[in-house]
Amino acid sequence: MTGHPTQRVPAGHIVALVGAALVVVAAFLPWVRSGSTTRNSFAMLRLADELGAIHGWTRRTVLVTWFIMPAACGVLVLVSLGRRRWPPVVLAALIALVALIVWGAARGSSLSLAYGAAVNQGGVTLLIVGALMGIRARRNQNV
Amino acid sequence: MSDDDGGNRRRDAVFGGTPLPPPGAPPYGQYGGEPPTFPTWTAGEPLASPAASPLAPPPPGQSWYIAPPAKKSRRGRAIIATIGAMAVLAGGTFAAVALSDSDGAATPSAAVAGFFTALDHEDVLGMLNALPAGEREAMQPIAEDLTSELERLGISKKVDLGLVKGLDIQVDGLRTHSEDLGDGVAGVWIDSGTITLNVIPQDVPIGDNLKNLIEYVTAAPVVITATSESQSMRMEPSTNPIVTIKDGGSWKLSALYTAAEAMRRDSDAPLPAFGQGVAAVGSASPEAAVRAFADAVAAFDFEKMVALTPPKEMQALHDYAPLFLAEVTQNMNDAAFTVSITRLDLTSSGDGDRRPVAITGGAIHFAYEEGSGAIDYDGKCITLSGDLANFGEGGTQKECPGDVSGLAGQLGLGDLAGRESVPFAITVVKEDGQWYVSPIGTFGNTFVSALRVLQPEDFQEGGLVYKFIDGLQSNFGFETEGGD
Repeated sequence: MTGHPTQRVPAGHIVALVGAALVVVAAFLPWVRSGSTTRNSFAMLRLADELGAIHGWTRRTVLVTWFIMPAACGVLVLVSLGRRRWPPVVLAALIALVALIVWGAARGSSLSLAYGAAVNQGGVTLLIVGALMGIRARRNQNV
Repeated sequence: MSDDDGGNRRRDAVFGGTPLPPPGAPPYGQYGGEPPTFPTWTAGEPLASPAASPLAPPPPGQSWYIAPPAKKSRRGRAIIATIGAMAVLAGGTFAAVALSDSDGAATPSAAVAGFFTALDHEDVLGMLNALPAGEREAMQPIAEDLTSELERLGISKKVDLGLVKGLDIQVDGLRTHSEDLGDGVAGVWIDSGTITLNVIPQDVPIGDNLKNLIEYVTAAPVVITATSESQSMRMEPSTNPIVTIKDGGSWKLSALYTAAEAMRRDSDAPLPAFGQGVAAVGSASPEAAVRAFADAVAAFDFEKMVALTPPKEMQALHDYAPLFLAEVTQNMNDAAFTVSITRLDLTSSGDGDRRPVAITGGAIHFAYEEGSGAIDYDGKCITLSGDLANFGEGGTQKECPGDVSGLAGQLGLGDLAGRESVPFAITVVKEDGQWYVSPIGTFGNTFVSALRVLQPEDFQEGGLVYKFIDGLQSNFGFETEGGD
């Protein structure tokens, strides 16, 4: 008897997973500097919230979205093992978008950025590349 | 073709429910590995050889078997799935804990310690975060505008809040004790500690205009060295506490409460009933808030004036006002004149929760024992009438911004004539849907507005400030080391 033939994880998914791992690691690295104190992305957002730098509906949305991002990357790992190609592509793109927004908010502030923000950008790039590879592979399959 | 080697392996796409590829079609590609090698066969045609059929029995002494899937890739996927599941679990737990947790100080002593830690690290954001939200929101915009204006005028260089240069503060051995003063209010006394200031003059962001002005006044060159200058101060046990309040679930260090408590102790007044002071009275619009405040001023109603200030920003005033309300009200009632506001033209601008309300016109009537008079402001000029006209400079009844004469002219302020000035504005803030008059915002923005009238050239040789200094010397005999 045989089992189902094995399905390999597409290359685009692997690239996206590496990007997601980078984004998660970067989130815990120093993002901003004030004097000799550095803060990671979570502390930065929490401080921005405390100081009233983010307002209205964006406030809670940005906070909650970024804090659940590590769990979302775990979900990305799981959906990448499935047969369907679109869920990991969409999820990778969403994580990249949120990471880009948080980076943009830090960049637009008057604070000195630390290396965590740069590592985050590397992760965002890989997420976007992985998502595009997934879209391209899907198109090639349909041809 | 089948493999007729010792292993007799042959992929069989039929088993597992997957249909055979159509005759002549390429093998399935998604299974990976080597594609199955089937002999081509067209339906209806006789088989070239029974052994060539995928359904043919194996040669004698041999048997078909399907190679099991590579154990490595199945195990790898299981590991990745486990990692993913653990990441979801860990990430979800982290989010739940982080979003429900508070970053603030859990005790009054922790609030003070946090502030001094931020001071030790030159962490401006940490120091701002140590203040209650109401006081911070009032002071922060003024501090930012003031910094910006000082940089524009060349008095200071650009200040990076993330990296304050030229100053290194060290706080060592800080010991404190706290004591409750009331519900949600606690005093923290400093028992001991040392603060060391290290200044590196060449890194201090002093602007060129300020440096040149100091040299003009002192008649001595300002020497800026790269050598660090250090000074240590030992903190003696404090007699007055640093007051902390509970704000948003954590303890914050309040500058206004600290000042109010120090004044209370100096006057030997009893502790106020915190949280039961003057109740806040808000208005529906920015203009309504300013009108209500103006009416309270005209009526000498000090309690109403306090009630019209923001309850969060001026929480200390609301709590401590009852201690001196009676005395202030008595003094106001003893005033020998009455005031009535007969006209008040207001224009608010902006769209946030903190806005300026400009006074674009108004008329005030004074009545006192010896007579009465009125002041009329049309948005540019002030006209005195009645008995007040006698107080006008040189007996004039009308003063306009371009009329810089008399003493002001002698002090070298003539350059101010004709400069466009911003009407006096009262700052109002919105809290909990109601508008209040902000004293801190009003005073701070008035000072910043005055700076905005000045130009960088005013602080350079021959400019307005230099003329003012020369005017002081010639009119009042103030000696400066430099000048004429």
